[in-house]
Amino acid sequence: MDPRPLRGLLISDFNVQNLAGYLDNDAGEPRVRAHVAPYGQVEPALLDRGHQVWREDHDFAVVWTTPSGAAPSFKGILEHVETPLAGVLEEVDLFAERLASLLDRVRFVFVPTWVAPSHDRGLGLLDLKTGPGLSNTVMRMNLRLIEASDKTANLHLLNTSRWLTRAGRDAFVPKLWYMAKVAFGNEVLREAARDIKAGLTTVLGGARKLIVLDLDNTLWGGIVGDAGWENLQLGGHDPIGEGFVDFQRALKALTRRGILLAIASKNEEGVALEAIRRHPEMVLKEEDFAGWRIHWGDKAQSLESLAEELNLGLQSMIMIDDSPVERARIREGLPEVLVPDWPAESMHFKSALLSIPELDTVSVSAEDAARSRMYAAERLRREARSSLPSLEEWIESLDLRVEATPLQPSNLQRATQLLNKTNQMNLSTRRLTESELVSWAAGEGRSVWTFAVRDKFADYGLTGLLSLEIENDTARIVDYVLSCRVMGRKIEETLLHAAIIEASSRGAKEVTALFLPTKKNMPCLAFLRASGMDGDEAALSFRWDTAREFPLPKAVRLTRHPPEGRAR
Amino acid sequence: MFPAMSDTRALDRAGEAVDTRQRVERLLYEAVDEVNLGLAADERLQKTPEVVLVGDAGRLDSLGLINFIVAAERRLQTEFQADLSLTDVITSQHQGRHLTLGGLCGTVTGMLERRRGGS
Repeated sequence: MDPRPLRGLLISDFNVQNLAGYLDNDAGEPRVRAHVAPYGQVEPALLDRGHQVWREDHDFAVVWTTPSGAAPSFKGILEHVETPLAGVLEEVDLFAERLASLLDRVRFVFVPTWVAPSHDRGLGLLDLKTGPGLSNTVMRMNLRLIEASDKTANLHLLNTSRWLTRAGRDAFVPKLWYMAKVAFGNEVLREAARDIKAGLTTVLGGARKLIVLDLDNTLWGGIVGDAGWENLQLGGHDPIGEGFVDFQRALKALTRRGILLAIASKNEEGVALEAIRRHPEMVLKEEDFAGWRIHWGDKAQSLESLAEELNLGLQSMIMIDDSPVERARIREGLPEVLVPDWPAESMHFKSALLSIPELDTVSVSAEDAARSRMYAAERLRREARSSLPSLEEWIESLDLRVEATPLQPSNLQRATQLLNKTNQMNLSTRRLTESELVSWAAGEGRSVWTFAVRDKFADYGLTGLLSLEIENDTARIVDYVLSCRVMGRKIEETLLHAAIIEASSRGAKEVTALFLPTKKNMPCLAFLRASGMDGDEAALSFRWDTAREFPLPKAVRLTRHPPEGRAR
Repeated sequence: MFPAMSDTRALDRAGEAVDTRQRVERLLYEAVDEVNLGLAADERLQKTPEVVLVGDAGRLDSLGLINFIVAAERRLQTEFQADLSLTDVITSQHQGRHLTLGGLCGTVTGMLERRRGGS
């Protein structure tokens, strides 16, 4: 991630100075430097682009108000004055518009939802009645805001109620309010800071993609090598067994939104796989795992080997293991891997899993939902590969088809996701929001192409992105991005071929690519060096004369689709 | 050989007072830890009796002081089931004198002892 701390602006109608302190002091990535807008200046900060808070640039904003701070007529509800709900909701709509307008000043806006104070009973049974009910109105306001945020990319709501639940009786501290106008207890603000950081990690593409699991006493109770698969604690009328089944169900659900599973276990492979195949209460099946390392060797080496096999960085991994020794070994040996502390009892496993913020996601695409299947297909492909004599022949046997499509509304979300999540085969590691990408693509001489890949085993969906900027006779490749799922199958060359064809058709005489190194994109440099482009090693720049043909790999069939309309 | 009964009671009371003071000190240091979570590295409080809470050499701003009061009161309430208000104790020191963490510890211990003696 970018080493520069992200600058965040906190806008509120109560004192959020403590929240700024918690955000600044959180040592996790991304680092944040929070600035607090003058107290109570919500509307001026939202509406006035010349306001002092905008003299400096900010990467994101947090707008946290009381219900009355966003919808002034909500005060009527609090004071039991007859207040039309429609009027309150109109004010919410107006507030949502103002929030959306921030997105031309910051990349992301986070808005904690409104809550009714837990000490205010809202007159009991009246509380949830439509019209005068306090909690009823707050819920409707939140739903209205949620509808607005659904239509606005990069406007993200955060669930305040969850923070209140975690803070318990310290959620509201009257002394903090009366003496310092801090609306919530500091435990709520610390929870808010954690969620804001988790949200930033998610939108910046830092979420984890792979969970590596131990087996004995992690996926099931007992030691399969000793007890045999028939005697494992898994399911049945047993709270421990139920805990393991629920944990497996939660893992399975994660695979449906793009999280991959793998196994690293010290066991006999045959014995462990038999348990997975034959135990009737195993929720996770063999095909749910993208890979496994089941042997008596070092688990750190198993994780490195899995990372290499799956083309994922160690920073994409989470390791779940019941053994504190194994956890300590991984933390020490592979600090990039996230190794959460793990509870002793299976009854706590599901909640421990679902409280890992690094698994958060901002959206679920069709590709996410199908990712596990694709990796399972990849495993089959590797097995098929072992029966073929050469890599070239193997690639040719895959029946690779690539479809190139310009950036357009239907592929904008996935294209942005790919741009922001891809680390290894990424020329410049440029991170843009949807609106920033659209805005960039609309510039003079620029074009953005997406690439969908499939073969005889699976459809990988949109896995490549290429952007060009043509000036005079030179076409500069600005983004060259390829998902690790399709790396090493001549798709790299296919993208370069497409870039040169596009550049040539638009009159460019040369294509250039400037490699911007990060800790993770060395595979991209390795490809460029081997691609045949003329390279200036010192400047890490590469060029190709468009008069020369850059051939499409024999193994690939490329189709170029015309645009369906500009993305917006 | 053995102390008189009245001497024994006095020793017990003295022992309890020491114990109470140690517990108060621990709770106040925990409150300092909590306040430090939101402070920049160069603003954080040391956990020593000499550290100045209020006064010319005080390091906390008004919000920091309120955070400290809330964090300390909550811990004292949980530990001693005592609904103590530190607001008056701390804010009254604004009238000239300064208050250290050790001084506050002594004041709170005295308040708790007086409550116990009065009950």
